[in-house]
Amino acid sequence: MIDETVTGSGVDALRAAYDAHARSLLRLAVALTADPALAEDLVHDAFVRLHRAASPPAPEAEGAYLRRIVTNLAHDHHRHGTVVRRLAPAPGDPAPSAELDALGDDRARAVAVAVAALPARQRDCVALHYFGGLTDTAVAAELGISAGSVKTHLHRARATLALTLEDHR
Amino acid sequence: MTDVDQILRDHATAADRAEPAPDGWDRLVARLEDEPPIIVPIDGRGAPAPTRRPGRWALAAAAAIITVVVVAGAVALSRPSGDADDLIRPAATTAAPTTAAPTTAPAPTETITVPTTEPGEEPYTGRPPYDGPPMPDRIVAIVDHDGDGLADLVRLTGIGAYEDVEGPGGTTATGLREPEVTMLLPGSAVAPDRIVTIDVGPGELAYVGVGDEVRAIGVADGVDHGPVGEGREPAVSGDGDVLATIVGNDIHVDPVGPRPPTVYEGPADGEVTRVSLSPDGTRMAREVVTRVADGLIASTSVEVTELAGTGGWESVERSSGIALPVFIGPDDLGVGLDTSSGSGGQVIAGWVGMADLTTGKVQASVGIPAVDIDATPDGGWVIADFDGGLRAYYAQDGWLWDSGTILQLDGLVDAAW
Repeated sequence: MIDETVTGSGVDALRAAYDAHARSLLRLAVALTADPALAEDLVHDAFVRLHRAASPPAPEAEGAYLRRIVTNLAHDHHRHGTVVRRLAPAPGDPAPSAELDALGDDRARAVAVAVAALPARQRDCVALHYFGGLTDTAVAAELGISAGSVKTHLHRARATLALTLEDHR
Repeated sequence: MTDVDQILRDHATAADRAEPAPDGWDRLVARLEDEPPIIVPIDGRGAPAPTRRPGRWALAAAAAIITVVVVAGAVALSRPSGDADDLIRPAATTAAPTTAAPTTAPAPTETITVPTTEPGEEPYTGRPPYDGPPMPDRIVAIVDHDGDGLADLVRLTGIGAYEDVEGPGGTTATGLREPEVTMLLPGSAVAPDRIVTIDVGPGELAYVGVGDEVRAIGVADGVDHGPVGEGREPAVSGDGDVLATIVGNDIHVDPVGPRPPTVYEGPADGEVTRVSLSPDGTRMAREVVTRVADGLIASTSVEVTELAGTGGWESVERSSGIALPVFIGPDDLGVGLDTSSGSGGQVIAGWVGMADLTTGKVQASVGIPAVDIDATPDGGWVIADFDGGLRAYYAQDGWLWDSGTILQLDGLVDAAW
């Protein structure tokens, strides 16, 4: 059975939201996951949830709502991924995946992986600040924390990344 | 530091080239059309499709997370436990390397024979008249109810099976009731922490693992009584006097109050993954998982200690793997048997059974791929989580009697009653 809103006025609103936010959400999701294919799945998941939301946000709040969902879904992916990686057989070949190849050169790949490996809150702050283009204040509002906390998380994230990306500076 | 900042800005600029796939919108629409929107109706009994219009959603909200299925035998209090259709066996086990012979569970017949090679077990030949308390019709669950990607704490009232004696052609139809859903604690209220585990004590008080702390939430009124302890996987005694949590690999037993916790150190060679307290708060059971070098589960074990004792642990033996301990009575422990490793790293049991801590007998009751077990505070009723569904059992005469599936939830994280 086709959800009637997919073919009715609901689809128009969803299409408008998709056109307005899909690109920026994809950037954010890539930053959070370092996996373009997974990032696109998360973005689609976010739009599905928007479409079926119990209390849909006002149009001006849709961007923040979608970013929050993408961030939440990325968290879940990382939590699940931790278990999967822990249980997975030891990798025999460290060659990068095709998805990571799509990210471009070695440094871009290294940055994406390093950001994705940050603790959740630091990763959120980095992704929203650098890849979402939000100010510290806007990041704080989006995550429901203080601007001071955002600065702290960003500082710690940069310190971690400075070590992780030592070979790429 | 500055050059890291520049690296990130450069990378953001490069990532700015990322574009949604040209067919992204078409695939999104196709997905919306293909995927059932949360509700899967059965028997033509309708569940309204959720829409973005709040009014219609309000009508669908109570049922929005419930997948209703027909369950043969759901009202089978009078049906013998262990019918062939109960035998949903998991994939081949990776668990429990052992020197003992592996247990093979034969398909039960109407005469229920304990499916084991363990010594000292006897066949059960019939279901005794039930004389215990009625099955609760309320359950507390962790599931993403509002669709924001975060698990919420909800109360489900009116669970269980129905029996329609005026079915088509004079037949008796059975199915699951559609419970009323009440939000107790939305995941967004505690983000970035997550609501992950729950145990319910007496007085309608739920102990909820939120991140690395435990909160007490009123089941009836939804009142958040705030943090009551640190740790994860909370377990509360049936009398509500003792709370246990896992902190690191240790178990902290906190009398609910201001006294300092008693710490039971975890084993050096295993990971403490679950804990349960007896109804009277005098005994504690823990599940210990060991993993091999690549992280796969090597074995599971269940151990019991006396809280007033010396701190030593006694192992509950079962050659084919034992896990998911939950106290049913002071001397009875509900357990999962024939354990294996799930793809997500969780323990999956092939059978739900019961361990008599007095005699040492461990007996399998019903084959089901359970990932968690919970009991009512009085130990009268037991639920097993399996692949998003819940199956109920009542405890009587040292045996768990199958009462069928009582609920099915999409994305169920944990449940307790």
